Amino acid sequence: MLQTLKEVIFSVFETMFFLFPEVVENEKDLPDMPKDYFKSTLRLNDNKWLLILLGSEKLAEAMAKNFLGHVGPVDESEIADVFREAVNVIGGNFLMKLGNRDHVSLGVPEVEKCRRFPGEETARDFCGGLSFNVDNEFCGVCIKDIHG
Amino acid sequence: MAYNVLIVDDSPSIRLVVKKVILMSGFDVGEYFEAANGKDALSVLEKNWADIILTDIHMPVMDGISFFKEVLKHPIMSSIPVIFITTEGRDEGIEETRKMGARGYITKPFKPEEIRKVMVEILGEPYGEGEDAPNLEGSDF
Repeated sequence: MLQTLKEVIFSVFETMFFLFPEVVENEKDLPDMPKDYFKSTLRLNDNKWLLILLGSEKLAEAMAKNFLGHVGPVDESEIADVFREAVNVIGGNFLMKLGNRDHVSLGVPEVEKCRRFPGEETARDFCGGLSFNVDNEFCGVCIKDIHG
Repeated sequence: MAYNVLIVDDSPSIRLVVKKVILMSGFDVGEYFEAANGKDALSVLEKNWADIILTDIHMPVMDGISFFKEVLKHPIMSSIPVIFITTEGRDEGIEETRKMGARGYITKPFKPEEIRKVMVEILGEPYGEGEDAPNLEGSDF
């Protein structure tokens, strides 16, 4: 399942945002943990799973600029909306790639801007899923079994 | 002929990008209308005419499928071609909307050329003979 998610991340980031994430296996190789970051969530499969996408503020800004084709600055509402749409597209494509022939239930994605708490020093502290380096910016993705 | 276009998506960014793609595609657009969900889109259609509708499926308040069902019930609105642009790319989902009468289905992330292709199938080529169509290949959204 994580391999499928990884493939979807590569594909969506490349197609939508012209960005090329690299998987980071060792925490020591991760970019610095961001102080401010965006978090978007999406409930999948009749609320069984929660997909979480995390990205540093700089990464989220780059995603918004690339997606919207803006040369100048993007405002925070645009950044949040694009980051919210990212988890939506990742979730839809992930379920499709899993080959789920049953009813595919996607929730309505949510987004928030967060500030790192003391103690959240590593990618594992953030979400415990896949960690990526995208142009030296942190990105994390994970799926949580809500009922598990 | 100028076409009125209605774009329905809860993401303002997606609405903006779809609008950009249509502009880049060279279609003569009269008016652009936007709505964040199916309910708002129905309100737009009560007061304005649209020649084509591009809509998402997963939206709060009223989703794209419910919106399409309402459009189909209407004696006049039911003639407006509807294209779905959505994250749900299952064959079953595509088939379901086609059976309902949708004229096109595009999955996110989409390439601008995909939107242009479906719109050309419905509205016809925006450029006359001898004019160069824009090359949208190689760009993604």
